[in-house]
Amino acid sequence: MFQQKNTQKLTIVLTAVIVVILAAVVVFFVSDSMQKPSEHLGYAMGSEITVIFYGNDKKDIADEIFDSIANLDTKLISRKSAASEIYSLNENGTAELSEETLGYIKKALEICEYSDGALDITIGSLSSLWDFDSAKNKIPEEHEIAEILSFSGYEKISIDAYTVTLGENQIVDLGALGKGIACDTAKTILDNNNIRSALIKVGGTVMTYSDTEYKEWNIGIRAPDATDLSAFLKISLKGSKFISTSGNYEKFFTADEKIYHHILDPETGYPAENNLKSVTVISENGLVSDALSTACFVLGIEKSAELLEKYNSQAIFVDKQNNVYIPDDMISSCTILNDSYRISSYE
Amino acid sequence: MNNIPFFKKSDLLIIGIFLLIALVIFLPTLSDSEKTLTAVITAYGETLTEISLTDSTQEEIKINGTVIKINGKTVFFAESNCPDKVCVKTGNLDSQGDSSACVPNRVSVYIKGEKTEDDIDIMAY
Repeated sequence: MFQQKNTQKLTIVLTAVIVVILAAVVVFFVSDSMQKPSEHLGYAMGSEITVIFYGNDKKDIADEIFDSIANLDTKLISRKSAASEIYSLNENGTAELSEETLGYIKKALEICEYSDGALDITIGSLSSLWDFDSAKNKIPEEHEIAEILSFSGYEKISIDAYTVTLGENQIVDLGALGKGIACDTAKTILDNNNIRSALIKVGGTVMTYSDTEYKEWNIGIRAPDATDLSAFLKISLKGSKFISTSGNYEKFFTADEKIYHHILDPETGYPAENNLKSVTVISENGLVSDALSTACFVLGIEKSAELLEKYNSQAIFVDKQNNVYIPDDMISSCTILNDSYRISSYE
Repeated sequence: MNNIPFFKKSDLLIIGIFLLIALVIFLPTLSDSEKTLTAVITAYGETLTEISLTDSTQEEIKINGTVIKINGKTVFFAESNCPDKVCVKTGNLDSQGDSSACVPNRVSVYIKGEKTEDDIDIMAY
């Protein structure tokens, strides 16, 4: 009898211990999301940068991220900053690049190839010709576009060790990848500082960051037609991911009752025409998510499948009739927030 | 034999200690979170002011060539001397996570508020 009571007591105490340990584990994994986030804003790359930490505030790390992205832009990849390696490459037609910049070029060229030229980093002159950043809103002459296209083509770039040489009259523009690369830079800093969870936004490219696969994030995707900033779609994602959107609503002008947007088809030299309003890509890497969102916008839904699979990425397409094409395995984690959009699935 | 209690004092002490540990672990998670939406206005990355948004809030804030207006629970860039006017074209902000920035003037506004599981953590575009 006495021994039985002791066994019962031991069971109760052990159960209590296990419950407390389990509770501690659960709290450890979710506590960051329960604490007030601390938000830091900075400016670089012509964009606003947002860094959000959960748990303890880490302003010094936010500052390190802002400085690193500013350096990345002005010293390595900007085509406008006279101190950058890409500027030097464009000015001289050839340049010996740092390992870091060369790595970006090589990765970009790989995506240019796998996308069959839907992404082409040598269309810098074409972007300058259209000049969507200015307010001149002028459609270039056909012969101007034809002349520039005769020089462009990523396959004309040659690499010998660290020396990159462009084709004749080529201008490299990494603008389609810059914000994604900036998020990759931020990720390295978060990794090095053992940060548990954070959110980074450079322009409109977002990185979720967590040291566990259990942490869930809710990402709002801005409605392509909204005059305010409301989200038309909420995506729930776990762990660390990169989210990039390319849309025809970002930079455009209207001429002869037609909309001319800034996502240029490297093959035609004109804005990509495929009935899409926007493409949102989710990847494990920032450069890849940015590059694929542009490439997939140019390729359209069907032709994007192989490219997305190659880079283990997923994409959500919105067409001009407000149909939202979501991969089957993502539908359960997506919520439409605006009644004028409808979900359609695709393989 | 029957007079021996099920729990001795030492058993109760152990159980008490574990309950205390559990309480210490959970207590921080029960702290008050923000209940209302707040507009946070920043310049050069530094927070200038935080304004609680209620139906009767009426404010006009002039910073670095921009004019930010708060009309009830809605915030917007009313004017800016920047060339592209992206901030003004952005329109109304009224939900948690909404944000707008005048990059040339280094001014931005975002709305923070109570966080629940269904809320949006950040906007992508």
